[in-house]
Amino acid sequence: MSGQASARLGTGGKVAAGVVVLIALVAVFAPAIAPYPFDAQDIPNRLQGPSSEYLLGTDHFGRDLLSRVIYGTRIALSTALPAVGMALLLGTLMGLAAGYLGGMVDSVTVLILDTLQAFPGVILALAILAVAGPSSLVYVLAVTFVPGYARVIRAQVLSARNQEYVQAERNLGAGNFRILFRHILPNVVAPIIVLAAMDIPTVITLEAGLSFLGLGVPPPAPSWGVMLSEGFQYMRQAPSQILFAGAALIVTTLSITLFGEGLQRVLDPRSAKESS
Amino acid sequence: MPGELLSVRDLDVAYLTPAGPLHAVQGVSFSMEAGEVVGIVGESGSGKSTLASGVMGLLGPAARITGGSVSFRGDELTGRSEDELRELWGKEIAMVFQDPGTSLNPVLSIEEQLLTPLRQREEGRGKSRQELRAHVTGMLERVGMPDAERRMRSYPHEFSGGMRQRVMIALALISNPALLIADEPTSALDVTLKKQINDLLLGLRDEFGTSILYITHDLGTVAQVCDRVLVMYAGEIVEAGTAREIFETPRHPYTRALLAASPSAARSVDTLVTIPGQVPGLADMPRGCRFADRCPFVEDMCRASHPDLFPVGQQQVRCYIYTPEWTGRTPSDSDPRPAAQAEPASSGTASPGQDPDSSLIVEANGLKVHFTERRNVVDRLLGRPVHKVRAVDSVDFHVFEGEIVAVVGESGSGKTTLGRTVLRLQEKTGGELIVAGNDLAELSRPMLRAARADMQMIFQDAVASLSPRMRVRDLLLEPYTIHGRQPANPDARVEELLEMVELSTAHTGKYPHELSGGQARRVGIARALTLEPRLLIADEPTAGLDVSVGAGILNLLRDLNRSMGLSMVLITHDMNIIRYMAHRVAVMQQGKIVETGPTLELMENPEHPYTQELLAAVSPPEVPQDAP
Amino acid sequence: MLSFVIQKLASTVIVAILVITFLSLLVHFVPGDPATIILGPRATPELVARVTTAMDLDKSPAMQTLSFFGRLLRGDLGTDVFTNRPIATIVGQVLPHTVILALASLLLAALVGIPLGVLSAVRPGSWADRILSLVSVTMVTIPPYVSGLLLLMLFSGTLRWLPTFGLGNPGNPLDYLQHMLLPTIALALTWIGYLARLVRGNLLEVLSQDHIRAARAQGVSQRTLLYKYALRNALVPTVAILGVALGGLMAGAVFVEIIFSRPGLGTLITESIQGRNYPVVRAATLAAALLFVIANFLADIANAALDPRIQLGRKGAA
Repeated sequence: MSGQASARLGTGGKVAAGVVVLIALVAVFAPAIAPYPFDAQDIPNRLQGPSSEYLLGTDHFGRDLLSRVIYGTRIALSTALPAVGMALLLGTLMGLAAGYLGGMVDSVTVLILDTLQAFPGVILALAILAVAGPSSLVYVLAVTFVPGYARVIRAQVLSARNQEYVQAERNLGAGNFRILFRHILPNVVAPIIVLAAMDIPTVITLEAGLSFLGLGVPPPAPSWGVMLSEGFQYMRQAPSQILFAGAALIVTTLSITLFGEGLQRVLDPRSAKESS
Repeated sequence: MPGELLSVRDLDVAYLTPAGPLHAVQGVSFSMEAGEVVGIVGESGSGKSTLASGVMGLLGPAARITGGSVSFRGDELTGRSEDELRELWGKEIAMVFQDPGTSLNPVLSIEEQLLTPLRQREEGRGKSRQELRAHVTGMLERVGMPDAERRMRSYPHEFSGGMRQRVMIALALISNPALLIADEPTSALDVTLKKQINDLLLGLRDEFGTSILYITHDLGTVAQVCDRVLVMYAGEIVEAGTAREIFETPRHPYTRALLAASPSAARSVDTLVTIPGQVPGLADMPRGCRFADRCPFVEDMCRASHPDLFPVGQQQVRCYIYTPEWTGRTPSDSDPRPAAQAEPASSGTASPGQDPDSSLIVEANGLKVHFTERRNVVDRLLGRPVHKVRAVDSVDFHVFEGEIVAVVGESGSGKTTLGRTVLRLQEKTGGELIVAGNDLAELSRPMLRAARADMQMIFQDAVASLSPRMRVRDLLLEPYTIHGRQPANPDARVEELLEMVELSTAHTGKYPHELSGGQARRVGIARALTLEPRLLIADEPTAGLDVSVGAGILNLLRDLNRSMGLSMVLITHDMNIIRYMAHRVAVMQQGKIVETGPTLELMENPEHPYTQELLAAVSPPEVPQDAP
Repeated sequence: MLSFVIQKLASTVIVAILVITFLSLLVHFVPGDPATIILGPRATPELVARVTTAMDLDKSPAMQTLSFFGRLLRGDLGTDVFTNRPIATIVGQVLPHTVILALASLLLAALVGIPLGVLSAVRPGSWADRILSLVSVTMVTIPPYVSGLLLLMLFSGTLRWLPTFGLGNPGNPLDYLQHMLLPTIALALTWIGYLARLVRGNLLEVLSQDHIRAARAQGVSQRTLLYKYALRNALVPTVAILGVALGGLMAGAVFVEIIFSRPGLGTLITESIQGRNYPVVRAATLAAALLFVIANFLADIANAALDPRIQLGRKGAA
């Protein structure tokens, strides 16, 4: 990487990048790294503290906490990434259509977006989950984030329409399709990708929250949210589960956020005003 | 020295970068007396704005005074803390900035912005709010704000650009400072406003005895407004003298070139002189004379060591030509400044319009472009009247093949809308429009596309008109793809096009943001020429460019017109360039063409009052007869 | 100003109508018999019949929506099929607690977050700034359920300084406040960090603008420059965010209420989902959404009041 880009990424950014890579590796190689399967029960040894056998201790079913935390990485990423991907795709298409075509298409799209955004995030997810059931988790997560991307793309397209280069292309005789996909889209999509990357931690947090409420990933899957909920239940006997799952969640989301910010600084020097 | 208000000695200002200090201003010395107007003239990169900030002590966090002294009324300013300097700011030394749109706080009323600093100064303490308000109202009236007492409760965005600049001047002069530093105060304003603001400044100088340090790139303004002039280049002063001396007997090759590159009403030239090359970057300043690489008189001694300022008569010039040791050529009066008697190019070739056989390439009769404001539901319910803007109000506009017609007007005149409508980038709402033999409104989509090949536009914001993620090569070849054709040899064609606009092929792989303003404009022109159009509409072709760079663009356009018979419509607010460029002129005001005719005639005998006003406001680099 | 308020009011009403319609039609987005789907494992023929009548599921979707509207306007949110109590009462009993919690957290977030942001912005790049930035970003990433659990662990286990369970005695304001302290902190934490970063960014941006430089050149004092000239500008976009913040706080309240065993909208929604009591879910979600919409409306008005450029959007220069 060039010297300038490296400087903008900063020490914080590089450390964060390293942690992100580590987390991704843990997620991919979970079965190989985890000492035990996440659902292997050992009732006689339940609710134990850290020991040589179980490095982080056990939960109320005698399951190894370390393995569950490791597998939790997998769940967090495998739910969040498809959700963000879907939201990005759908949001971009909606935004492009609304921004460029205008008229009825735009009005209807904006109404839909307004409706979805009238609900505080979790509340919307809860309302849809109540009807659609827990198996729709990924789709519900996606729907919650679609309006954000759609609005940004729409705004970008609206402003791009009035830009000189679009006028210049029309002047040369280019048609709508060409202008939209060959000229506007590439300029509009780049900032959105970074935005989406920065949303991954938010989706992970939302999924963990829903799982904490018992409405997300179903047990025995070791989502960190489920672990937090179980830790909450057994708080008197063995609260350590809360600390481990919480730490894993925060480290993951923090590192992705810091890496995303570093990435933003590299790609768009104007946002380099933010330090850290 | 006694009597001196300001004395700057060997001032050095540097920007602190990780790579080391970059000196934007080096070894600048000058002095000012009470009531004087001293102009600092330079192009971008000359360091003039940094000099202004340095004199005031208003440098940003990354810049520092690294040497020399600034002495105000005998007191040394360099090395003082910001708290100490703040005692002077606004009271003794004030500054007026370039862009009135961004120099006023958007969320505070004009009244607040005037009262707040006043209250913090000694003169303001102990006075009642009533008294201070009266003082402020008086000042606003003095700078020309009608109904000041009521209107000062409004916010900046409710005022026009010209009025905002008057407010800025009021802010600066309200406590009657001895020195006013004006950093490009009229660059962002229209022609007629420029004159008004400059007149205002001079009037205030006469009334209050304020000295003005006037920073600008506009030679015309300098001639009209300044008593003495300092010419800056690459961080140094290269020539100093009175306004009359600088304009009638310029000595330094840069000054001479700058004057020759300025199109003006008084001077008639055959070709505008451009200065080849670029200002040296701050990081690689040559050890010898900084202008050496671009100087037509350069000799070895110029590069060997750095020249001082040598006295030449009453002037000072930083050039070895004026030392006894000089053995090279010297500038005679005809080189590079041509004789004032040369024929204006616009009448050299007979206007094609006078040839009875020539045909019209643009014929607009009763052309109308009206915009209706979109009203929201509430206003409709309340029955508020619809707001209509007649951007182009029943205009008759004709362009003969082969001629250059200038459409002149200030902002809001509708000239840009007219240009865009001619190319059907903007839909007309009424009237007749025939371009290159086609009634554009009648054409089907595919036929319109084909017709577009004949008529092209050069946009005002050159860099923004190029699709940001395409390289120059792709940009130049795209018109072919759009029209379903392919050049026989794409690379050769790209080279050919670049040659036509005098750009080297080194630029083919660049992205628009990597090009300079002038280069981007040339690429825009090359792109427009790709399909060999018959009509070219140039929207403010020199906007945002340095004088010498702009001159190059104008030369290029003129050559294209002469060699290819390319018809052109030149949209501009700059009266100075029309004499050089245009065969005929159409003057627009508020959507109507108020006067049209052959350039020379119009400029010598303007009939419509607005045309007269525009011409009067235009400042030729010619010093008024009564100047010292 | 008046036409601006009316305009905003009109669009708020439209959004409210859309929200109601959306919630009313939501059941139909899933294939199958709505009542059976909703009830899931609790679907007995008797309950299915009761739910169908209670939610008018036997009528067409259009009629359903209209009758839902009609009943709403009369303040009737239906009757709970499981307890036979009016849903409006069920929701009304818990709503105030959530609102108070959210408002208190908003206040805390603003009172702590904004000054932190200002502090950072005045000395950008300094050690204080870098530490504060790191702290802020960490706070943003800690979700309310984690901070709530940590606070709970700390205060119910080791330090028994504050109560951690329930509302306390509603008749005794001091006791109520004591019980509210920990949940408010847990909820506000994320937004303290968010506001601190937002204000820092906005303020830095404003401080670099031309008009600040111009005011400096007029000799205005540092304090006045910061608080009168710069902060006024920076707070404008911040105020607009406060409406969004309230929504986020209501969302976070769901977790905090569960952790600290407080009755509220969040506990109601969660328990109702688990109990497959969709009519209550719908009513509670509606209440939350309408509150959010109103909060945004108020924030927009406040924003317009602070920023003179907004109201006169279309008028040009004088």
